[in-house]
Amino acid sequence: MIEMAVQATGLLKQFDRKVAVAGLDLAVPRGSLFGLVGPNGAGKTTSMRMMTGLLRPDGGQVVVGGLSVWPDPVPVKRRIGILLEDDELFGRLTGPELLEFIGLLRGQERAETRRRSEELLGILGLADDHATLIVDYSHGMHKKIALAAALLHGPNVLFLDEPFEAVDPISARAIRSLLDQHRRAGGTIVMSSHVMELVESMCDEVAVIHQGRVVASGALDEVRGPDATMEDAFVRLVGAPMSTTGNLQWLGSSSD
Amino acid sequence: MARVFVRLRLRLLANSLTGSGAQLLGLVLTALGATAVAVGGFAAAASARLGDGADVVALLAAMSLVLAWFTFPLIGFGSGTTIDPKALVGLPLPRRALMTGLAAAALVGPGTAITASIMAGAVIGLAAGWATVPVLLVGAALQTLVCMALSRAITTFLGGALRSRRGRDLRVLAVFVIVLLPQTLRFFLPRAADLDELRSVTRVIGWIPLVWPTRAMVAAGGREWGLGLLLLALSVGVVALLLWWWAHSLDRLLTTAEAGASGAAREGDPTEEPLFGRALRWLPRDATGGVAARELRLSWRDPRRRVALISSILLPFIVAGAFVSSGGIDQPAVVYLCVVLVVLGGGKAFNQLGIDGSSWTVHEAVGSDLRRDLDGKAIAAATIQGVELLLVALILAVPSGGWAELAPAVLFAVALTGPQLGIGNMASLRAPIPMPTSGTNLWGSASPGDGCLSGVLVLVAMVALLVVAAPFAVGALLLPDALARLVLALVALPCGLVTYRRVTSAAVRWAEPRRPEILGKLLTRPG
Repeated sequence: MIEMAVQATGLLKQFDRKVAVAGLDLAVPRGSLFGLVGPNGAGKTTSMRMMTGLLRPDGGQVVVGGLSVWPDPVPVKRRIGILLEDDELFGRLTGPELLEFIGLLRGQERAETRRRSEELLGILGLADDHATLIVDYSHGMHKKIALAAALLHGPNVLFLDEPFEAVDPISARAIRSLLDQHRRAGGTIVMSSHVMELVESMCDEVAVIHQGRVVASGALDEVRGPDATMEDAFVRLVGAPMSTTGNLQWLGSSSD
Repeated sequence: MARVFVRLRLRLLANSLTGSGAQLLGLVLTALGATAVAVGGFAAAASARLGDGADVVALLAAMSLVLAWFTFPLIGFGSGTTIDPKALVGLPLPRRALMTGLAAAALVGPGTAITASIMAGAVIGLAAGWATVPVLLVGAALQTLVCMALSRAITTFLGGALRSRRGRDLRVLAVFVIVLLPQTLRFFLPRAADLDELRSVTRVIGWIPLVWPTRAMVAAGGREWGLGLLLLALSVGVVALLLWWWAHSLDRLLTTAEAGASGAAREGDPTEEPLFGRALRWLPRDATGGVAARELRLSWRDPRRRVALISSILLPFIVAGAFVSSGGIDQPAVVYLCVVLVVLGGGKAFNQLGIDGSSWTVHEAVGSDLRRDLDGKAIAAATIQGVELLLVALILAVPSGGWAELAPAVLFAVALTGPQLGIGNMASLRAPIPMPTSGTNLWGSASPGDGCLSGVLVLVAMVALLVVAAPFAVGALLLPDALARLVLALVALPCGLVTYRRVTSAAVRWAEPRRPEILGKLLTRPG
């Protein structure tokens, strides 16, 4: 029987009258790179925040590494890494300062934190910017320092929301190499992305989320089904039209 | 075109009313304040009569309006409801149409309502028969136009520079100086106690072209027709000049690149401990020390915190200046004013998480120990405040000769810091209000209404602090000499520490099961 690193059952979340997640079920096998895909507003980020203990669900359960996330998410947070958004980092610290600070919050041994920080900053190409404030980083650099912060304590499970967004190809390769190493060491990764080619080339399993529910989940080949590419399968699964010909004939008709 | 812009402005104003209940409460209180200013200004200007100060009131009101229109858009008081011309850069709008639309939109809103109300009061106050009314009305309209054109021109002119990170940081400091300067100058300028002295001030103000429309109204009210009409003509020229400046700045803003991050690297020794460095090596190397080090570093790097720090450092000089100017500095008891600093410093302590805003997610993501987080923040706050209150006490002791009261005063202040930070922790966890960060839109800020709500929170927490401090304050007043007060202060010290620990423990117990909800309040977006 396959051991699950993350198991979500019937997750529910509603903001005012808007249902963001409507009974989401998810099972992420241990050691896999699991892709979460879905259109904008499908509920990917909200689901991830509920799975990582940052947002309390209105209903349902999440188990990570055999521990229930709710009602007490702290023991789970010790074992997982979360990629935070740009504005969720302390922008007025430098990269090394942020990593040392997070190491202290996690109660890590200082020399070990320092060693890991230097290694991560070097691999991610941030070592030369050791004295630059994070607020002055580019968007891609933000992603990289957030990834370093998520990896610093060697988590078992990584939750990455759009980790390759606005990252240049060289940095993307560095990030992929880091994620490969994490997996080789037995780690599990849950990653959301809009880039289907990326999901297709990196993930073992994938779940397509639409309107707060999982509409398809499983190995890549299973989800892709009869379609040629994952993008075609995605469009089919979320019910969007395959083609827009016949409409919008006025496009490009401006005479000015 | 103007109608489209006015509709957009009205839509933005209406959308600002769709926030949470707390934000709405803040908005209502802000609106009440604005209404009070409008009604009060109208009443003051309308009730004064010519020869009885109507000219003085009108010119002072006009100058205040000009200053308000000048500073408020820079402060970001507009709560995101002002149209940012940069957002329209992709549209094929001729400059004339764009300016007409932006001007029409700028004339719709609370600022114009307040200005119109006060100027209407001035028309009534300055009117001297029906013949003067047309000139007064034209003057009032021109004064409103001057205010609007000045506001648009200055924000457009400075827009490009202030969009950069360093520019935004400097803006916060500049605004702070603008706000603080009149308060500081007040102590060093002669007091304008009677009408004649005030009139001498307005005589100087009257030479400023930005208030010439109001000066024209004053002249018309005094039936000096020639001077009145000349000033009206000159006022039209002032409006034209401001519009030209605005048009020129608008062209530049819309056709030049945004300033980059311009973040020069800080000097740093890579062999040092990054977070602590040499300056903070005295802090413990654990989560508590880490939070304290971060807070102390950000107290200078974050422009919002830097303003708070500078104001705290300047406060002693302002307090001393106030007493020197009032001649009351010779009383030894003046040293106890350092205790007041602790109470005033509560403003920062009562919203400790709000200043972190979304960044608090770092603590939640790692599952940090909340008690240690708060203790770290308390160490940082107490360190800064300790230095400040020692400085205040010394500054006050020198001219007053209150050296005997120095030790008890400082100890009382330190003792009060305990409950201040404890109550601060409770308030910070129970009602966290995210403070607006300086965003890329110079014309906007975060959640409208939160500023007022934050003020209410500080007020409630200060009352709680005063209640806790009351027994010791009464005791200090009743005791006969400094030695007895020193003994009482030594008793107060452990009481302060125990209060901090008890209140903080209670706050943490309350907050632990609610941490995701607290984080939710600090985020500016759902989820």
